[in-house]
Amino acid sequence: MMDKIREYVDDVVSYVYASEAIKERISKDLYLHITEACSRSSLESVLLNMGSPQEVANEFMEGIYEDKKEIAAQMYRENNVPDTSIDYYEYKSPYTFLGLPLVHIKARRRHSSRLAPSTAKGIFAMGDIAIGVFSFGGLSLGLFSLGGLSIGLISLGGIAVSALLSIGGLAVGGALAIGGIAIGYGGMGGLALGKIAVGGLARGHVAIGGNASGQFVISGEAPDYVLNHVSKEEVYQLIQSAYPNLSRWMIRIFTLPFS
Amino acid sequence: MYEIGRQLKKGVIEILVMKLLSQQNMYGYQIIQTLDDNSNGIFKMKEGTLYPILYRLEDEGLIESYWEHGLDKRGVPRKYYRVTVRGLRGLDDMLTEWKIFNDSVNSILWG
Repeated sequence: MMDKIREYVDDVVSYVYASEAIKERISKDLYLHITEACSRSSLESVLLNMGSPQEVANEFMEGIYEDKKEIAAQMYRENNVPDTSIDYYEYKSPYTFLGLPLVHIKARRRHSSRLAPSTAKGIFAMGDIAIGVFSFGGLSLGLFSLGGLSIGLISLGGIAVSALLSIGGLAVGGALAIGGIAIGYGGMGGLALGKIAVGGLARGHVAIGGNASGQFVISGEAPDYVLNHVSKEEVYQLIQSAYPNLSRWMIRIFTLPFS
Repeated sequence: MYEIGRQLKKGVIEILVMKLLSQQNMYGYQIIQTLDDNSNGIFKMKEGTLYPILYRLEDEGLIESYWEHGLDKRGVPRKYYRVTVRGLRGLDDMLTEWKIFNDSVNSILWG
């Protein structure tokens, strides 16, 4: 009888994906348990009640692992199969809004040209590629986006593209772009291109800068191209004369660099 | 058994095991039998459910195991479990939590 019990227990353990220590524990306890049960009932009936070794193993694993992903990870380890899930750090909040997790963070632990970047999607999204209302990532897409390349309503990044406000090394904005190279309806930066351009090198309908050209212009002159003598009021007047319907607060933004 | 029944049982099983062990040191088979007998078969636990719970409680230091040898004619040792001092404190916390939970649920369900 003991041999049959041992055989059954070994079968169960063979289906268990767990560390050797846990398998050892299960093996000892299950053996004793069946032995104990056999003092009250026949071995056949005990084993019949328990179910097949695979069923018993599954019950153990469901008890040991609260998260089914842990079972998968253990299976991968035992079979020397690379577990793609460990390539990522991922957090997804249990709260959802409009079908999206409130917070989703997904980032690759290691990067390679052969591996696809991770994509996080959530109200707050953070990842190699982040898509959300508030997005932070290498490539971020969202209403408010921050990243290497950020695209959104308001974007901040190395390359920032937005409908409203872009701030970045290269800023391309529908309404206002601020950056090393700024291109937008309004552009402010080292190189500024726009209907209203304010910058070192400014090109626009209204152009204000060290080297500026356009229809309404305030430009510095050689050799130093400085605009120290230009006041906020002068800039304000120039823009207002070109765009009389433009709101005052918008015009004031372009006067900020001046004293 | 409806899924909700399974989930409810899963939620309370640790407390029940701790409570039984606080009253008497027991071995695994005995725990399963006692739960079955005292609940009119509602808590009919499988081995694969009980032992992982015992492992978890033991790893957390809430219970500890010891062996008793040759106390009956079978000559097979039994692995008994008992609640530790830390476990008794833990059980108090569990019971308090359970009371709050139970009262709140009843208050919502039955007014």
